[in-house]
Amino acid sequence: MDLHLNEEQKLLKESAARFLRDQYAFDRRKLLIADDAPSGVWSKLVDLGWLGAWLPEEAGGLGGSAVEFAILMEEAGRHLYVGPYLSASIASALLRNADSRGARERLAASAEGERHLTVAHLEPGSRGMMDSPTVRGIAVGSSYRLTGRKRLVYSGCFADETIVSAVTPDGPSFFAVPMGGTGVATRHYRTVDNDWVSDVEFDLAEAELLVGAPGYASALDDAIYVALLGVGAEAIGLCEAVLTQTKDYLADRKQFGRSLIEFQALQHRISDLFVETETLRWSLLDALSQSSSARTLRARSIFGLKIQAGSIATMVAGQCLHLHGGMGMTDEMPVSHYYRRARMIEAQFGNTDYFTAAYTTLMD
Amino acid sequence: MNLDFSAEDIAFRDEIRAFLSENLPKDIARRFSRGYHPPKKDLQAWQAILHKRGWSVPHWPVEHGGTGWSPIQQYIFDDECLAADAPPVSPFGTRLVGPVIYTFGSDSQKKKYLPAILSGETLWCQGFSEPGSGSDLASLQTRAVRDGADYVVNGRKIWTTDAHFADMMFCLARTSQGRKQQEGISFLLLDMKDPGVTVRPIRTLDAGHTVNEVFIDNVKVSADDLVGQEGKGWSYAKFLLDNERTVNAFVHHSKRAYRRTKKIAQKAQFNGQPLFDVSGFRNRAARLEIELRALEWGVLRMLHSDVPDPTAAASALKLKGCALLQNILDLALDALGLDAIPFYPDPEQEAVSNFF
Ligand SMILES: Cc1cc2nc3c(=O)[nH]c(=O)nc-3n(C[C@H](O)[C@H](O)[C@H](O)COP(=O)(O)OP(=O)(O)OC[C@H]3O[C@@H](n4cnc5c(N)ncnc54)[C@H](O)[C@@H]3O)c2cc1C
Repeated sequence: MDLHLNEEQKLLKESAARFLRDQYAFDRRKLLIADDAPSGVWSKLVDLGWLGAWLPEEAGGLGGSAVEFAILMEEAGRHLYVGPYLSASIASALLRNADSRGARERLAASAEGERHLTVAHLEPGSRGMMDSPTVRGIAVGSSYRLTGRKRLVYSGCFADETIVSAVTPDGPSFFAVPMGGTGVATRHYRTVDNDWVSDVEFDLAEAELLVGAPGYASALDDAIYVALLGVGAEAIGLCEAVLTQTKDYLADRKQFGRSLIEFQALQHRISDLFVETETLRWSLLDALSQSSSARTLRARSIFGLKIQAGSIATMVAGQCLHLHGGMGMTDEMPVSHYYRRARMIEAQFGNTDYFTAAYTTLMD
Repeated sequence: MNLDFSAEDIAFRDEIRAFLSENLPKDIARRFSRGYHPPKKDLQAWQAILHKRGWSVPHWPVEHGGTGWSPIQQYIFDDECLAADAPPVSPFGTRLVGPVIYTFGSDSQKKKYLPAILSGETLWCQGFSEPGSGSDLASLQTRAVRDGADYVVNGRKIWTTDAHFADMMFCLARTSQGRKQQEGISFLLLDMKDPGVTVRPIRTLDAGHTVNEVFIDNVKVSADDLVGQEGKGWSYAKFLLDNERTVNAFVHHSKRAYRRTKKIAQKAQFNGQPLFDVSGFRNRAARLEIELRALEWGVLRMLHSDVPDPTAAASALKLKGCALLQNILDLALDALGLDAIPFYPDPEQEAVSNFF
């Protein structure tokens, strides 16, 4: 066992940090999130190799692992990145072990930035990623037609294609559907944390089968692992950054003739938040250690990370918001954005209640 | 000790309910039910309706326009209004400065200001906090210098709720340098239409606009608009904040939020059953329900009996009340599950999830 980052991983972390510091500084980010669709930074992330950084070479990647993905997401969290990276990575995770030609082609095209992919899996009424799809797929010649509704399709306004879960007479499967195709109606809107999402309604939309029923469960498991690892690592970057900024704020802010950080009551609160953030990093190591373990072992560790991330990030960012006094309530201060992102990490893909219930079914 | 509501209290509650169902405009209630800050027109329209019935300031003494209701009746009234989604009357005139004026103000101030506070024609804002003076309010720097029959006021206020549509501000300004910071502060009534007043909006994390920064630049305030004695403003400010002992428990808000959370959880399906029947969720709801019951008695106790240290007890109500409201709203978000994610910037917009 060696818990150090290797040289390449250190370089990756530094380059990601430098890039986000330069290109995604809070003031610049303000302009970027005001746009109707994610833009700008995306092509640069692709050029930097973020999409392939954690994929094996045979999947069009650079030969990295879950660790590389966690490194990138942690930096993303630190800088409050919102945009297509996570959803495109979940699409890659879905396809990476599929043996269809369509899946392999798309993986490579995605890593190259030639085709932007997202995932349409959640539906109205679903509470998390393990809920079964109800969108129906019927075979028509060599292709399929899909009918039904999906929601919370991240970057739906921006993607070329979406990977859709649907039920066929053979069982649930994953399909590719072009976003602008016939029989695809979209409604784009924003999330509480300024991300871009869409609801999509398929009406006999033409679809290509990528992962058939036999591979469905394990492809979904891979997608869940990457989704939860992503927000788990992101939550760590988020907590560390918001805590540092809050300490700085309290050092600058003077009331009663001295810096607020000099009040011991506030030092105690900061220490408690540091302790919580530390425990989140322990859970990340646990989840990374199980990245190629058997199904139940991996699921337990990754559900654990998601539960810790949602509750700890919400608590830490919420406390930091309070510690900013009135300033914390303003859109102008990063802390209010960290809080909203943290609260959405809690809700995304299924909340703490959802994954706790799932965890209890996996206990020995 | 008698812990029951009397038959008169129940009859009173029914009277309020009947009044609300006949008089509360549906569109005002609908807008408020969606959780946005009520616009000025809704605040004024609703207060005018209450005023017509004589109910805009139940807590005031009868001679100034109050109803003479018992504390418990006032409590029932507030509870029913909020339960019906009536936007609470703007507190700055009715709850904060009004009582200061009728307690410490001159006869001409009472005549000039109280009727329009009662009717809601004049809306007020509270100019206490400053950029450098938040928790440490007594360090405030805004200055008022006497010049003949006027004070000339200069300074900067921040977090001033509703300043962008208020007609008047009650403000704390330093008129002299005392030995202690709390000395030498005066309580002034300032006209927001004065050309020396500039209001800068502060956008908040909900993308809403309620708070502002207010720049006060050589604003003339007539000495007639000094409340009470010069230099004694701090004691009036404390009186004002002390009047708010139970309001900051937000118990009616919490009861309303809890009822709505329960409805959401009864409707939401989790693994084939209503979320509200799922034991983990139900346990969390039970804990909050128990705290809510306790808080309600905390408020009733404060209203009804002689609490040994009311200021400390009020802090307990504020701390517990705010934490409980936050926890209930967190439970509501958890009940919404993935529906907590979409953002609805526009109060008139239908929920995105109704798309399907
Ligand atoms: C939505 C909103 C509406 C408001 N409306 C009005 C209004 O209409 N009129 C008005 O005058 N004001 C208004 N306020 C201002 C409010 O009263 C102040 O925010 C409050 O007094 C706190 O001051 P501050 O924001 O400067 O925080 P700070 O005083 O800077 O405090 C920052 C943090 O440090 C903590 N802290 C401070 N001192 C200590 C200490 N000695 N020991 C331990 N912890 C400490 C605080 O609890 C807080 O968490 C409003 C505020 C908000 C958020």
